[in-house]
Amino acid sequence: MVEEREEERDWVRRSQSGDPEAFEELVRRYQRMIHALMFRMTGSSADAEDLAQEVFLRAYRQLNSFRGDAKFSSWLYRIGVNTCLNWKKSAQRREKLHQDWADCDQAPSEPPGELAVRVREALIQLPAKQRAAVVLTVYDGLNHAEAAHVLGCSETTVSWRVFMARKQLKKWLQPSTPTPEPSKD
Amino acid sequence: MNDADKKLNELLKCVQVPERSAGYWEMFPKRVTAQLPCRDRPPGCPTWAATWLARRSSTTFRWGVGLALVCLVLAFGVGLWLKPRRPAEPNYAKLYREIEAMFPNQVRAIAVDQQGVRLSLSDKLDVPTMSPLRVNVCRQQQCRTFITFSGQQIRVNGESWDVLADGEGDVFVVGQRSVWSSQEPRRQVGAYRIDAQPLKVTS
Repeated sequence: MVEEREEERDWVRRSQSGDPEAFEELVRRYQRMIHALMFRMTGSSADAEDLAQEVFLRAYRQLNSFRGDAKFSSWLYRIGVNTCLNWKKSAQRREKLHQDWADCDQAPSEPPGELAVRVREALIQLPAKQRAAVVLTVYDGLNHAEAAHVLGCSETTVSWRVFMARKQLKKWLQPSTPTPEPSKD
Repeated sequence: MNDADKKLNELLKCVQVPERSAGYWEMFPKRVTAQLPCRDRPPGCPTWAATWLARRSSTTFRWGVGLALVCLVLAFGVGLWLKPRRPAEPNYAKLYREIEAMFPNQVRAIAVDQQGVRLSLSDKLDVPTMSPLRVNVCRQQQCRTFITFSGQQIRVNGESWDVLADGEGDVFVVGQRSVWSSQEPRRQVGAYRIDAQPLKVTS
């Protein structure tokens, strides 16, 4: 674990000096994490791929702002979430998402069941910041303090967003509850 | 966390992230880094070239570069040594002065080519004193230079050409079927490229 951190610090240092191979190692280490975050935030595999790429490119551009006082993964998460929050949402995009659940250019490990489809739909309907709070705390296992650091807000704000998100999700995911109308961010 | 929240968490986690192939994960980092040179580098970072050079600072690399440079210099030197040397172009003005001094008023033309220098002399001392002209006639890679005067003839490949000059410094080379003029110096005459001008002779 310590060795991994040392190795990562070395990659970060070398990346900050402009070494592309070191940065490639960082991408290799965190690519699945970022892809998963992007997928959960967007609900689209194709968008997740594009956004993941964008996240790493932004990270590279902002590398000099990373001072090493926090974990690199937290810093990367923050860039990922901000990238998604800036991601333009349009009614057409949502409609495409609803119509095209199998929008994958690779076969999923198993076809999504009806429940999984409903859950994904419900997640996408959440306001982006609430969705981000849920994804970070439920899927990525961050506590509220860590999520607050990533989201650039207070821990109380994260708690409130998670609370509101859960309330909505419980309501939408009750059996025989119809799909809600898209919410405005 | 209460039971309802735990149940919701379980429900949320049933959404799986689609699997991607091993090839995708192998290529993704390379796709990202391939775009890096086109994007802004971190401020204050050296260029990729400088980084590339800095990383290759090992002794082995330096020896390799040194050896390559030595080989390059050697190859250049050998090439120069083997290259056939072109004879230096003769000093036509000096040549004319010396020959004219030996054969005053007899020199009709002096021909210079790869075979050497050949003179066309009059039997009598009847060649008028005039400003000499330099006429260069080339066919493919073979060239012959004549030092002659207005009103004289030169022969190239069995063909006779009259050389004429007017008072304004223009030269004409007149063959049986064609004419070259210094007013149109680039004009090719048949298979020949001709160049003619007054020869500057300083006494």
